[in-house]
Amino acid sequence: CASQPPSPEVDRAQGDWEHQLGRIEALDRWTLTGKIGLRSPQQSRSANLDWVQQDTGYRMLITGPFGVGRNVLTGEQGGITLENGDGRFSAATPEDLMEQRMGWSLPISSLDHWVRGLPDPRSPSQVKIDAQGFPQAITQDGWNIEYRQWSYAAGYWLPGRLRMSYGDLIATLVVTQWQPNQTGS
Amino acid sequence: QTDPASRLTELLEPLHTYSADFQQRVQGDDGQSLQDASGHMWLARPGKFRWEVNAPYSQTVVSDGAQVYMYDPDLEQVTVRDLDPKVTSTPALLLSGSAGELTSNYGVSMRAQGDTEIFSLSPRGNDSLFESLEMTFQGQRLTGLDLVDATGQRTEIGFDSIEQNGSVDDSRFAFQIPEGADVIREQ
Repeated sequence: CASQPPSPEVDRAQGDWEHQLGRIEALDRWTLTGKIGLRSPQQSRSANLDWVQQDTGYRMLITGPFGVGRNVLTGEQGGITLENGDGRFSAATPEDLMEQRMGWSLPISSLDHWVRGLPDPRSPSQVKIDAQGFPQAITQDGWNIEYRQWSYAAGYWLPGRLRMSYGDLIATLVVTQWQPNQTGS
Repeated sequence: QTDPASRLTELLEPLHTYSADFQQRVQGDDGQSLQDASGHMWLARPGKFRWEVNAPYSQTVVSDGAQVYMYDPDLEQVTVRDLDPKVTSTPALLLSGSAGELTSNYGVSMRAQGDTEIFSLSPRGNDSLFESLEMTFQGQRLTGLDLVDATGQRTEIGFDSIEQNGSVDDSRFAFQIPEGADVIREQ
């Protein structure tokens, strides 16, 4: 299955990103495991993230240590639901649902693009490119997303560490295991 | 027939140190596994423990008896908080607390099959993270811990390669904050 950060003999080279861009844009099924860290003057949080994406549907398990205090965020055609120790809830957007039920949120609606190194096509954005031609930062909807580390998994270069800031809020997403094109857990 | 609480105390009191590998499974409501993590736990009762989770969920939780350090190497973040009752709802701390503290904070019932004794604990206070906890002992050895939250979501923890009352070096329960880690102190 997926390898962790770039294996020694495989480094990002000029042109790798353009070469795989079509496949990255077409990638709509994956399983990933990672960590979410959130720092703002008011609060700090960290959680495990288990994310299964299938076309436009997703299931995100957000858990604290020991798997306790978990939240399961599910997005499908029919709508978005969040299930946790208090029950099952739904709202128009995942961001509202998280704010209401968890007291914090991430820009989930754009994250399925940002996590692949792509801007969300639905709103204007600027993309800065690094020396190897890979996205270095995306600025969009008030967010600044920096790609700090890349992982090589099943033939794809995919972001391994994203630093997302919005005003005085900093969210860090570290992907510890990428499994593109896999949805069976 | 001793009452469940004193039987549990009987099993926990002689447990001074404990070391085991663990498998932790978070189950969805239709029983499928949402998350499988593994690692190792060390306990020195009362109050000391170390809970190390392997990649891809790498995390280290250490209690030195006074403070609890939660270190996430991927996020390079350490959360430090005082050891207090609220935190005792975390499984590792629950096990390192004194037996008396445990049975006064939780209602205890028991069922036995052969040499397996399963204790169900429900928190007396309502601020606990979970609604019920089950501790399984096989032949007087702690082999499992299941946590169920208010909506029936289950976390199952199974222990193996268990060593009870072996010698565990005290340095195991000391935590050095790594260079450059982001430290968050929580009240």
